[in-house]
Amino acid sequence: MDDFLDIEALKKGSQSAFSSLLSLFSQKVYNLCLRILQNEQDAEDVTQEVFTTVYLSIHQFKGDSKLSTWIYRISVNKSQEFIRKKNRKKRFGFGVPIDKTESILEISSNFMHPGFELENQERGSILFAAINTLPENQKTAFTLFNMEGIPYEEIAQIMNTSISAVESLLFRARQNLKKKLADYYEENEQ
Amino acid sequence: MEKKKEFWIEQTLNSSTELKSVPLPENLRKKLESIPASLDIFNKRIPMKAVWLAAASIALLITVNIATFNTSPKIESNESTVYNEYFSYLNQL
Repeated sequence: MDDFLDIEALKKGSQSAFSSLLSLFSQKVYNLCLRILQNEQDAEDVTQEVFTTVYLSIHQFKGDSKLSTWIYRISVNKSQEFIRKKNRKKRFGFGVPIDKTESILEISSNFMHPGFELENQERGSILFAAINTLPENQKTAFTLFNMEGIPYEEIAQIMNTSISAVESLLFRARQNLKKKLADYYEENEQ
Repeated sequence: MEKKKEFWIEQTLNSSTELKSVPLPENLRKKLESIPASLDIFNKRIPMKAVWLAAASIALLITVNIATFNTSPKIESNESTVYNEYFSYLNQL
């Protein structure tokens, strides 16, 4: 995908190179942000922030990794930053405790991802609520692997960690999700 | 029962792979397209040279203030000094 882009022209501030970059990555970045943030307006704001950062710091891109990896890394970092800021505001605003809520039932996730088929909307909403209870790194790894279909090696580069650490994060994320979904099933589906 | 639960959990977990890509909203596309223009306007309106010059001036002003404050003699204006001066004046009378 990177082969289609003239990175040198991008570094010189070429408008047409930036347009090519947008046509290749804008939808992917928006979808990644939407899956992590679970809010359409927040995803739009962060996508804008991501591309502003890309435009301003493209000269720092040295080509050690693929351009898509670099852009995904910025997207993940910006999304995580956004969530942390939002959580800080919530805590100070309404006296929410620092500890994360453990049960899916206690989470008010009304997020219906527009990418789910109608018959899967409810199931998707439960899954997103469960994903929201995961620690930040497990959530990111699960989203990148299961929803974006990014391979382990690239996830490791995006998250700045090793492949074995990604494998471990994904294993723990799946175990945690299974446990939370089992609790939910016992309380609701019986 | 246990099998039904396991099946439900697996199905819910696997639903993440069935998630379809959402098209980019039109208003967002326009905003993204305008990023270079809006940033270039900012750069043209306020040249970086002027920004650095203003920052250097402020830094210089603060340094001069601190230096002046540290080198100027301290004036004793506490109450006891005033009384002492008054009584020594009375004693002279």
